[in-house]
This record gives sequence, C-alpha cells and structure tokens, in this order.
Amino acid sequence: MTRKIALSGIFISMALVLSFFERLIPMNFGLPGVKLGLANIVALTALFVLGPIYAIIIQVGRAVLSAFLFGNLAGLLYSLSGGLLSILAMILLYKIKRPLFSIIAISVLGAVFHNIGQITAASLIVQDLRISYYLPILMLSGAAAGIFVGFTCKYLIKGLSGIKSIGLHDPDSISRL
Amino acid sequence: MKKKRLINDIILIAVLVLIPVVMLIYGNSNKSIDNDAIVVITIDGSLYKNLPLSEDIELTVSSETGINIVVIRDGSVWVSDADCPNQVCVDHNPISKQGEQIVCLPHKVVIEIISGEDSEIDSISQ
Repeated sequence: MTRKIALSGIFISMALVLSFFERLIPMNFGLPGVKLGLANIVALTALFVLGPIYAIIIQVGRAVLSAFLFGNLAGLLYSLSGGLLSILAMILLYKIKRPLFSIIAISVLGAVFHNIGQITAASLIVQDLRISYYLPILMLSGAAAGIFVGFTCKYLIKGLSGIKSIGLHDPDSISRL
Repeated sequence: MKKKRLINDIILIAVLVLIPVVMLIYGNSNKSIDNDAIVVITIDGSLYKNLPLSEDIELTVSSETGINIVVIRDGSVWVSDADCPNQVCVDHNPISKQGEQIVCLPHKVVIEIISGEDSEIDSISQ
C-alpha cells in the first residue's frame, strides 16, 4: 500500500515533467492540438504496474496539478475529460480476462478516446458542435501517437516488471507485452 | 495465441483509423464548393468584416492588441502575418471549407467560413 502511494507520487511527477517536456518539442503541422501525448506513457505504465484504481488517481492528480502549474480552469476541464475517458477505455481492454489485445492496441484506444473526450468537452464549453469537424484529424493523429506510446510502454513495463520493488499489478498481464 | 492477438490488434487499430477516414470523406463530400461562401472575421465576439470567399484580397485586421494580416486567394483563407506571441494563427493551414476556422486567441480574432445561405440567419441572430 505505502509502496503504491509512493510510486503514485513518482508517476504523477513524471507525467508532469513529460507534459512540460512535450511543450518544448516544436510539433507543427499547422494543426493545433496534434501532439505525442507523452504523458499517456505514464498513464498506461501506471495501469500495468499499479492497477486501474491508482491509474485513475494518477490521471486526475496530473490533470489538477498541471492546471495549477501551467494552465487555467478551462484547461483542467479539457485534460480531465480527455484523461478520464482515455484511462477508462484502456481499463476496459485491460480488464478483459483473456489477453485478446496487446498493450499497443490498449494504447491506441486510449489515445483516440483522449481526443474524443477533449473534443466533446470543447464542444460543450464553446457550445458549438461544429468544432467536431476537427475530430477525425485528431483521431488519426491520436492513433499514430498511440502506436508510438504503446511501443514505448511495452519496453518500459518489461524493464520495470523485472525490478523486485516495482513489479506488475497483475502478473498475468505480462502476456500482453 | 500471440499471432491471434496480433491480428486482433491490427483489426482494432484498423477500425479506429477507418472511422475518422470515413468521417473525413463523408464530411468533405457534404461540403461542396460554395461560390457564395462568406469569410466572417470577428474580434472579441463582435463582427469586424464579412468578405466573399471568391474574391482575392489581402486585409490587415487591426484589433486593440495587434494586427493579423488575412489573405483570401483562390478560395482559401490564411493568416500570412501577425504580431501575436504564439503565432498559432500564422502556422494554421489555409482553410477553404464551410465551418472551418482560424482562431487567434491573443487578439481574440476568429476567422470563419460560412455558407452564403447561413449568413442571413447569422446576421439576425447576432
């Protein structure tokens, strides 16, 4: 328990550093909102190492802290809706007893749902459904970023699972890597 | 088992890629080129200027906080220059379809394309 709480703190701070680091990478395709989603590496790793409940706590903690540090209230709503929908979608695939899907598919689904959540929040805040014309572009970029994040997590979690004090939440989930 | 999972993965990812592609194709086929389309420029929510999309023009939009140079050429609209700090509007790809917009948050400038038929309803509701 204490071990998990301590690890959660480390995970949240890593997610904050990654989202800050991501702002420093110039990613410009003329499409605002298209990004790598490096913080999803932490969310997905947390899901495998600490389990679903801690992954949700980390996602919320990261959104709240990053809103206080760099953003504003509107930013909090975007990242909360995106982050929560994303982690819930990933938990759903993770929870399927037989490992039908690998971590890559889990990551892609999470990334796509992150964008769906953000666009939904944006349409509700601006009260303008036309924003959703932008959703397909974000879904495609999310899928691409999700593959990248998935492979990163695959090797990261493989490495972490070998460390005695970290390990996997569900030892069976090693088959998904 | 491992091979089967790879196939499952590919199917799921293919579905997740196909949905937006279909949405894009469907969305584009709906928005045929409209000669009456209008470029609406608003500053902080209030109307600055309506311009026809079909006429080539270069316009300097000056707001309290700075300027954006809006170019309309060959049915596309883009911001060629602006003195805002983040330059998101300048980096934005040219827009040419109804419903698309370029937003310059620092200057509160919104450039949007609407169809000719919508414009009357819009001017009343404004």
